[in-house]
Amino acid sequence: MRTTVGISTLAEARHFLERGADELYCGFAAMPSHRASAGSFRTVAEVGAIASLAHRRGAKLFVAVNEINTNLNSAIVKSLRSLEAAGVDAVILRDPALFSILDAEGVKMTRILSSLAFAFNSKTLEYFHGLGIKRVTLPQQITAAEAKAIIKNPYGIETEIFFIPRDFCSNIDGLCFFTKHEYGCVPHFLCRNTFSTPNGDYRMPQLDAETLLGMLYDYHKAGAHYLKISRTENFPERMIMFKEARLLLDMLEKKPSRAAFTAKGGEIMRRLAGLYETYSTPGENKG
Amino acid sequence: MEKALSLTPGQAAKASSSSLKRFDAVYIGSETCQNLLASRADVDALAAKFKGTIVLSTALLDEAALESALSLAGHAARKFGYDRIEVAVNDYGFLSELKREHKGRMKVSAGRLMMLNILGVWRQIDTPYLTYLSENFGVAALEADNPFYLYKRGPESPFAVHFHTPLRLLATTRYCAYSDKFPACGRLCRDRQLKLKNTQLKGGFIVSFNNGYYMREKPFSHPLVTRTVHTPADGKSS
Repeated sequence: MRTTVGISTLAEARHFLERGADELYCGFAAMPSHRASAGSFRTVAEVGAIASLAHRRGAKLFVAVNEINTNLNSAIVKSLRSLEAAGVDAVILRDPALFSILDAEGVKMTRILSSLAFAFNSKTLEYFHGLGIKRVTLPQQITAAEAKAIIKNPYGIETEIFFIPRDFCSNIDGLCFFTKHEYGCVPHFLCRNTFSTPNGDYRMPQLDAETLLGMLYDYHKAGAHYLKISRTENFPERMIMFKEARLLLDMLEKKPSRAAFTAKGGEIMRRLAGLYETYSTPGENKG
Repeated sequence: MEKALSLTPGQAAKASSSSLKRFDAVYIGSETCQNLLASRADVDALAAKFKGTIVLSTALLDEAALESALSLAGHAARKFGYDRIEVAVNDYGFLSELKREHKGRMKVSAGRLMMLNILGVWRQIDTPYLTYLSENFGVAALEADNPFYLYKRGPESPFAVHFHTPLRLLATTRYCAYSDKFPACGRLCRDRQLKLKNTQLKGGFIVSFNNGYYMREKPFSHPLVTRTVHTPADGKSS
């Protein structure tokens, strides 16, 4: 399984490429991307420099356009043309209407379907295959067993999963508005808070590390192609996450049993847990 | 203005014929939990005691649930006719298959999860997105529960809006709220609504129901709203 890492600076790109990242992805300020907008690049030249760096190391660079905003469609088309010319290899898309707009405008950049398009079944994949996707990022809340027909699709579409053991929301990413707007005064990650009910305390369900490691194991065994480290705003946390992901992927390459992987993987996660706490930022958003 | 009621299959089974009389349409199923998709028997039983429009509420669907939803829609259309059946859709694969199987005859609306797609960061109705759904899938109506979709809109839109109250969806999950597991279902929810309080929730409280978390929403009127959809919600445990 190869690795895709979200970045926000040239230094981050260099860090991950030197440590073996196969692909990078980023946001571009003129185009709507899912959160972490502060970490989006502002100029084509910045992105072009990273694309060049990635290509010299045999890696690729993608750009995310995974929010929907009518007002920016013209800017998106213009930006994608410039970014393609600057060497960006693919675009991560969500809005089916934008696929059509890119067709009409003759933008030929390779297309990756965002997890935010919610491909939970092979018919959704088939539909977006008709719109020209070459890869799909699976939503977090689908198991490898459920995704079997997507992973083994007849169209040659590659599959990508998030680094599930550390990047797994209790609510469906893209369909959760606890982090903004509706309760403007509520801190991020309300999902992790305790609520009171007449029958006692309530916490939104969370999967334990063993289950999440098991999911990663199942996806690896099922043949998912890429592991994605999200574009969080916290670079040190992403550094630890990438290191942890590499350790777990190395273990998986040795084809351990599921039980052995979840046990040893759990040890790795516990060993690195302190580092996450050191670098965690309360209220941080992913993207 | 049409009046509609939104029920889970369990709630629909308990509803009396007389209690449904004042509604023009009844939604059956769930937009947030694929495991609460109505069965053929659920729809047949509802149709026997309610003579108006039946709307099949559907969620994001895995392979098995998609097959069940397609089978249900086909059954309902054959047995009760396209005039009487609508489907609220939240899954592109399902939308695509409905169009293919029913050749555009099935009345479909873009469900609330599809609408959340465009609420994202920008809080506006996105015309190309909806136009795309209309032109490619025959979507003519939108299921909405958030007034922000409509604040900036005049009455010229080609889309009818079905406005849901009093629960506005804030988040959805595929977990079972009662077992920490997904997507296996033992119907542990039993149509319960949990009223969740937290000291940091200055808006009051949220309600956990059908794999969704909701805040309370007031009734809302707008020229585009052609149907109000009521969900029984007392926000209490039961």
